[in-house]
Amino acid sequence: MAALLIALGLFAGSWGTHLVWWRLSPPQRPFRVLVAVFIGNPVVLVAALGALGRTDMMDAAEWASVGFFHLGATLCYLITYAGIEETSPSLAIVRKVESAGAAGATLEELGSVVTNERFIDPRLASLERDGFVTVQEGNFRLTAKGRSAASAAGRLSRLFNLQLGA
Amino acid sequence: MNLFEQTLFPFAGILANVLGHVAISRLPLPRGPVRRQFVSFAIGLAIVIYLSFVRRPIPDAGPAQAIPGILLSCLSYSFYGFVFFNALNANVSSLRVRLIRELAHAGPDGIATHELRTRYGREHILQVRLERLLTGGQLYLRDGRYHLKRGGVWWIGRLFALLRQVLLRTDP
Repeated sequence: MAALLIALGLFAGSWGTHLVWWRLSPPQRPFRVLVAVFIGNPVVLVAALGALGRTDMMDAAEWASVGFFHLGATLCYLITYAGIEETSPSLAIVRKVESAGAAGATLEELGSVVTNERFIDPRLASLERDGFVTVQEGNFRLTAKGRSAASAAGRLSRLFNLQLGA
Repeated sequence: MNLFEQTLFPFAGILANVLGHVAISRLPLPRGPVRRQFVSFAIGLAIVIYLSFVRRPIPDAGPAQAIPGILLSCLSYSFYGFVFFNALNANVSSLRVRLIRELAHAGPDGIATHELRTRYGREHILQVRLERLLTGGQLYLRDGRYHLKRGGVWWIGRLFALLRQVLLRTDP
């Protein structure tokens, strides 16, 4: 029971720190800060318990279970946070249809929310900023990092028989 | 048994999930990729629950002592299962992954912005997304107008909107 409660408490504490930080001042590079917060909290907990001489409240296997739980929960939250920061075209379409109410929405109305300026250009800019693509002579080209990512995506698609979508 | 075994149960589940999905993805089933992923996730979860019961660290422990450990294993497995789900789903629906793969297909000369928009622009995104939302039962079409069914995507949208309001104090 102690392991489960500590694991849940650790994640709740990390999320609480994140909430307070974001309410006070959302950071410019949110993912770096999120990783720091969610890794920093367990480090602080273990250091505090060590200082109090209470690390023996669980055995090594339980500490390992708590660590794996927290790492998994953190990875899940980072994925979820990407959806908070950036709206997907599917969600934009669903919101537009919802706002249309009982009358429903036409294809033209839905076309007004899915624009290159909203969905393609910002993603190309972020791919360039993160070093996956570069612009040379007016053309977008993959960098070595981008080619590695494309290759990994291709291998994953073949292994799991995935069809390229959008 | 070694207490560390219990720590590894979620990973046994993930291994079963991944291998199960490799097999399921090759079967000629009429279901889409998301439903296949749910099936392989369930296979992994069943493995975690089975191992947690059969090989629990203290065999004589009563339910009150055993359930928290089982719950911890199942939750940990679910988190890594969610990560796996998203890693696969990114290959199907992520715009960034799609753009990177379009550029990889273009070769070393790359693609001009206008050409990229022609090959893969708003019309294409709208068409593919609408097809997926209709097939997935999130929307339906009546008299040429799209209507909402409150399915999974709608709930995900509500969750994101709520978190955005709480964290960033902004509306969608």
